[in-house]
Amino acid sequence: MADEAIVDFQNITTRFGQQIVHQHLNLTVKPREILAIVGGSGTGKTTLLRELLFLNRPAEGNIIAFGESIYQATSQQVMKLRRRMGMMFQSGALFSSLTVLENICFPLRELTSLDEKLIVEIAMLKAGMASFPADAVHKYPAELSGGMIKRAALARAIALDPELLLLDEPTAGLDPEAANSIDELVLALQQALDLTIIMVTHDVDTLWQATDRVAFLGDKKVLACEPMTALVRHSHPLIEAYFGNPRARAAEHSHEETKA
Amino acid sequence: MGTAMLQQLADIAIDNDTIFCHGAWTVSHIAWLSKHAFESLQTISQTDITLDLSHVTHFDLAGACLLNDIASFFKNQNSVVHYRCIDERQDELLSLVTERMQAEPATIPLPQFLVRLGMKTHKAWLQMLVFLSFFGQMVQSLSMWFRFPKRIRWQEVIHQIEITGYQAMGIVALLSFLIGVVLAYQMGTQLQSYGAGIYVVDLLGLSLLREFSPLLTAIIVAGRTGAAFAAQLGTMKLNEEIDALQTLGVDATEVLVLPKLLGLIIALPLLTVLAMVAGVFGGMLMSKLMLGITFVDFLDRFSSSVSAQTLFLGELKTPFFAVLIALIGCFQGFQVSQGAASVGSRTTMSVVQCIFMIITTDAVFSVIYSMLGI
Repeated sequence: MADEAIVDFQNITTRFGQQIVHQHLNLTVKPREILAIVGGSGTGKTTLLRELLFLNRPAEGNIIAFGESIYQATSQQVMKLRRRMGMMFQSGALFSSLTVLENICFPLRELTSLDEKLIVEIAMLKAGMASFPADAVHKYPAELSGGMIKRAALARAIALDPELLLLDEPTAGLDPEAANSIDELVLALQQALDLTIIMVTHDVDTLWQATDRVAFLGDKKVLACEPMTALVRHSHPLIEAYFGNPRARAAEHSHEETKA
Repeated sequence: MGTAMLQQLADIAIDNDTIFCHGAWTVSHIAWLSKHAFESLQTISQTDITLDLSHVTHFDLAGACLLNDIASFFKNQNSVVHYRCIDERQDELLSLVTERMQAEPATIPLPQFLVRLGMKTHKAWLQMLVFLSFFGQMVQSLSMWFRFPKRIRWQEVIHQIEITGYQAMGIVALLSFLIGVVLAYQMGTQLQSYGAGIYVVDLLGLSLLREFSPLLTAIIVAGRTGAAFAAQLGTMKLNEEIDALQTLGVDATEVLVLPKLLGLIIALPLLTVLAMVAGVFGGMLMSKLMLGITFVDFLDRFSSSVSAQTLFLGELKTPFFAVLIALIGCFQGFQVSQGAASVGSRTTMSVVQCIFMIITTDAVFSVIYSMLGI
């Protein structure tokens, strides 16, 4: 991990009206790692992802992505930066008037001029990598279950072979089995495609199974950014409260058991 | 970023039985090759092909897909394909493609014309049944209101009157005024040539009060309010808000449709009166400017030649228009399913159907009036 940071949040301050969400927040993401962002509700986890995607703008501070300061980039450079990132939104954000296959093809059709046959092939490949069943690709998002929507959204997020994949609550609202298979999928994708992944999650099982480091947001900044094993031993009261409850403990035990 | 700029477009060079691959085989650099590779591959006749990857600078899954396509092209001709100078990572991606590649399932072909026609007719028939059941449900909820008047949600009704009536006053008054001006101008020029300028008052009064004002107001309200009803209820349907209401044991028709219906039944006749006043005022202004008829002469003639019956005959139609607008708007809203596009198409449909039904009903009223000799 000698390479320089792939994303660097520097001194970020975010305000929504009077409410301050981040104050002088710093966070560094290394290439090819899976970094999770956790924290209580309203600590601005998703906001951080949206700022990286140019959807929100912080009041102060700077974000360096792929070695470039993103708020100084020209609109052309912004387009290029966006193509190197893939985002999976919390509720999928699939286009409701397109079928799943058309959804996955959409970024390929809009942003490249590939041969139509190859576009469909790549889309079917990405669907397969996201474990989306081939016989359901002609369905519309409204006809899919929650787990299927997440898989389709994941397939669309990786359609353009991004270097950086952002996941917003990839396992929220899924049954344990489906959540588990999403965890495995994330790990497998990271290994197969050499991705860097930043995910926002509340799922303690995911934190144990699928992350290299976890950044804990609280008090408007990053309180700690460490591997899970070190983070649960952290003495900050907010972190203790987050990982000290029975649910989090159970996840820790089951993780130790599977390792043993 | 600097390295990305320097990437060369992917290309191939053919030397007998060897295909040399060049450049960056990535999603943003293989577009040209994906369209032109297969033309040049046709020229190869050998059956033992070597794919040389030593000059490939970048490689991703899209590139692997294309390479796999090229290999399959030869394998389908029963040729043997070898890879040369393929590194570990390229090999990994390539095997990922061969493992995970799935064929696109066939889409169901479009049925024949007659089948499609039958399906459409069947669908229209079902729609009509659904509309009838919607109508029945509404009558049932309405009868509850008549039996237990305390259940009427007056606050919501008054809120609807404000949105559909009060807030539409400006646009209705302005458009009616302009129609009055236009009518007076057109009729005035004709009548003036016969020296019968004063009859413009009779014509204006009759046409505005009996036909134009009710019709114009209803059409404006259909575009303004009917569409809003459809879009609002459609979005609520998508958000599962209507399902939530029903789960709570609340009658969605009673809460969402009846206040709109009642509000519009009250608001539309009032709006129509405003439209009549504004229209006649527009005509009056134009008559003075063009024909020199003073306001006093105009009003004197108006009260003697336009009977109160004309006003009532015009007003009589408006509650029917109000019911049509509210019913069609709400019904189309409830019919929304599957996503944003359907909200759009249902909203469009509600406006088209409202205006169609308003004009048809107006024609029916004209026939009835003439049969009754009024």
